[in-house]
Amino acid sequence: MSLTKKFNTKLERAVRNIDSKQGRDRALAVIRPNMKGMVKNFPGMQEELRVIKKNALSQLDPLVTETIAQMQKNGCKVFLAEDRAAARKYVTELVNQGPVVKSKTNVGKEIGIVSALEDRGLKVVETDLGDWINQLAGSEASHPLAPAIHIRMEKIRQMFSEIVGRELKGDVNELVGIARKQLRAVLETASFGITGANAIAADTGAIILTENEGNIRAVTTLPRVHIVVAGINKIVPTLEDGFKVVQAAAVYGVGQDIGTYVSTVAGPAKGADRHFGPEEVHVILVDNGRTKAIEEGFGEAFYCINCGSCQNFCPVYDSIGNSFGSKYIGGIGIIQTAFTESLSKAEECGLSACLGCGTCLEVCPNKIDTPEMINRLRNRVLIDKGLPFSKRYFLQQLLPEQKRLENAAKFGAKMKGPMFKAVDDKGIKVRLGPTNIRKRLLPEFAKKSFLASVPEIAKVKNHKLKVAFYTGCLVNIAYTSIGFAAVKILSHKEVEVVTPKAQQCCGLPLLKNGDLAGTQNLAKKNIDIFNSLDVDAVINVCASCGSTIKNEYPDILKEDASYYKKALQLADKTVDITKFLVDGLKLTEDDFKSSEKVSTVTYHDPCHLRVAQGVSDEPRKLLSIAGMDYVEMQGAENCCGFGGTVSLDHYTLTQEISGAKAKSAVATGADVLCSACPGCIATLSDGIYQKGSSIPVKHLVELLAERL
Amino acid sequence: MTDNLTTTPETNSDDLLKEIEVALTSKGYQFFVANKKEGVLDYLYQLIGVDKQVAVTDFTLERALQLKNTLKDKGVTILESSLSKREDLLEADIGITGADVVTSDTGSVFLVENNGYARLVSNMPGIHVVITGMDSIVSDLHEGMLKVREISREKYQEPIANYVTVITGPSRTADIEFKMAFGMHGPKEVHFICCIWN
Repeated sequence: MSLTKKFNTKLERAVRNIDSKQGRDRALAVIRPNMKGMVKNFPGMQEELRVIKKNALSQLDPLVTETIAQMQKNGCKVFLAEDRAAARKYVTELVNQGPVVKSKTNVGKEIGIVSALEDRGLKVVETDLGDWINQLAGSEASHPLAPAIHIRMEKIRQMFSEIVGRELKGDVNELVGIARKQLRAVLETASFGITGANAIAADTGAIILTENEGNIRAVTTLPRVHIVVAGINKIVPTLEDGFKVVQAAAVYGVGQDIGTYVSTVAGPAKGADRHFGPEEVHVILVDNGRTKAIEEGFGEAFYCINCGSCQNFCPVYDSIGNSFGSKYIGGIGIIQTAFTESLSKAEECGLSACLGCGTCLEVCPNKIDTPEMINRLRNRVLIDKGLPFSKRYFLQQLLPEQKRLENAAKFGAKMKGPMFKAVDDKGIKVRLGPTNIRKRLLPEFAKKSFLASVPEIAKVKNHKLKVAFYTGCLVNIAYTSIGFAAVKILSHKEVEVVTPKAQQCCGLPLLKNGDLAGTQNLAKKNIDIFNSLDVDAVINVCASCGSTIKNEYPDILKEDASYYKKALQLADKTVDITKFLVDGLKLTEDDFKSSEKVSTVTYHDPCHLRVAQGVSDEPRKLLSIAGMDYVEMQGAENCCGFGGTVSLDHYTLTQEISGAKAKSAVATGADVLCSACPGCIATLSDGIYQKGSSIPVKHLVELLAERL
Repeated sequence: MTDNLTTTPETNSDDLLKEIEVALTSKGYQFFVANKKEGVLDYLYQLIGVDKQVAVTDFTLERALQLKNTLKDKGVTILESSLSKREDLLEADIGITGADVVTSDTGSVFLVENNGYARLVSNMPGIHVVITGMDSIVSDLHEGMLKVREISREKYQEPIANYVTVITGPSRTADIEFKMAFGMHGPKEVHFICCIWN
């Protein structure tokens, strides 16, 4: 079984885990608005933190040397562990007595510190309440900051009742009181305490830790020996930088302006008369693939401060929780897994499932470009193994040759009866195949492609503006009405429209499957075609295509001496139609005829428009200018779940996400759901259909064209 | 804070007092303004009651108030660092410290030390009391860090003292069904007594 299929099995199980989903929902309902509110108070934080981390990782060797020297000066014992085995060896040789108390440490999980100690018969007790609950329940952490959020209070009450030997009936306060007492007893007898580090300051050798419970303060105060395990990427130049890290973790991770406790520890307790803290401090600085990641151009993945913000907003994590990832959760976790474990492990834990929505980048305190690194890892997989057979034909034969694609679509249109079943006027379904393919509503193939139907130049006499039209594959072979609507609006506003017939697929599906070379070829073809035209703008109606041309083309051609500049040129001219209609053509109410029947409409933000291009006001403005009754749906900004070929590899995931969107849209009572990306439209159409609703899903320009 | 010639020093102080009251109470501190020394003691007697054991660190106001001796005279059990074993200190119900820095933006109290006693006293008991004047107040974390560096240099002759502890309210957790509860490991109550006599 391929690793992607293996992961899909895990995914399907995870989608059915209701308790986990409910726990996540409960936590995220609080965290998300808190975070959104708090980050507004810290406008420069992302830039500032990114500079600190970029700086640190670009000079890591001297910083490590400085850190070790300072720490030793402070009286710490420092060990630089090259890999997991070396770190485990150090710990197991040092710790000779249980119980060992421990606070949260991701690197500890990475090196398997608990199992290393337990294998030697030493008892390890987690002191963070959530981690302790998981330990008692034999469960895995389901969320980075609230790890036991999936476990119901009733179950916790049961476990605690067994511990205290009487039936507990109280509320959360009673349970917390019991946990406090139980864990305090262990803390007072433990000789060894293990923590991680949120940051390490090279200038002072100080370890900086943040928390809300006070267990880290206890673990760093009570045991005789304090052991710190931390990745070398936690090192920042100064103590002040370290404070910025912990504040960012609070602001972005949970929406607090600061964690309840921040502690800096320089070394063992000092003092002329008596000391009250640990006698020994051992710091294990772990490499385990980090240097390699930096050398291979993936250092950005280790700017990560483990705040969990990305997971709080990731649509995949929202659906399947910590099954997305391994010891490290989420898209960023998958990249970190590729270097701390292996590329195969990264594939096993969900490399194929990232939807590329870009929300993680948006909400990361470091603005880490996770989707871009995911693309590059998928490229590595492709170079190693090639594409699976099922995708090879579609992505490498069909998509890159638009004529071939059009012929296939024409054939598909002819096969409407035998191969495909028509579903009213909504679309088609495949007759033969596995269930998850057969149940899916697909867009109908056009009998004649848009490119074959539209005039190469839609002439306008005495035109003031001339634009080129980039259609994208879906409009060309299926949603031709979107193409016609766009040309209609532009012509109506006396804009001459050139639709070059030789245009090719933008290449996004290839890029997302790791075929960098294939994407570069398509990019160059499209760049040559569109740059040769003398036009004021290049308009697109597909947010995915638009963002690929604007953002990806320059990025994937940045090493190409001649094409990089050309890509920037095209990117600069490319604009989404919604933005063009508002900013360029400045449409007003007068452009639309008011009619008595005003439809209620709700809008879904395509990720490739809202996140990738920063366009979200313009579509809404257009809908109200056009005289429609607009109602905002809950979660309008959430991903539709398409992710291109992700919806082929992991339809269960897509269905879960599009189902939630459909529910939201239907709940508004709107007559029609619209969006600005044919990919979203196809997915939402299926989502609406699967929910048994029949509200139409249209492209915004179709609605506007009707009301001109 | 800029000088405004049209406002009296008293008004500026009032604003600052109000500012930290808002900041600290929003973080869960119980806030009390002491106009005179007796006010501090009365507040503490009410808190201590008849049987609570108290640990106290060394700080300027402690000396000015002769806090330990005064409480001992009243019959309160004071667990002292020099006399008790560390284990006994863990029996304290109330821990009393000063504050090296107070930030008026986040409502945080900083404790700077080398030997770990303040960490013990401020984290382990169920109640933590901070007693400080207005001169420890700074506007934000950045200024707080500058002051920490200054104290480390002057008091401990180091670029940074061994321990810096930043406390922003009582201990809390939402690990059970995301329902907030206080006093998980650290204190359930944190009291802030602001001394405003000269």
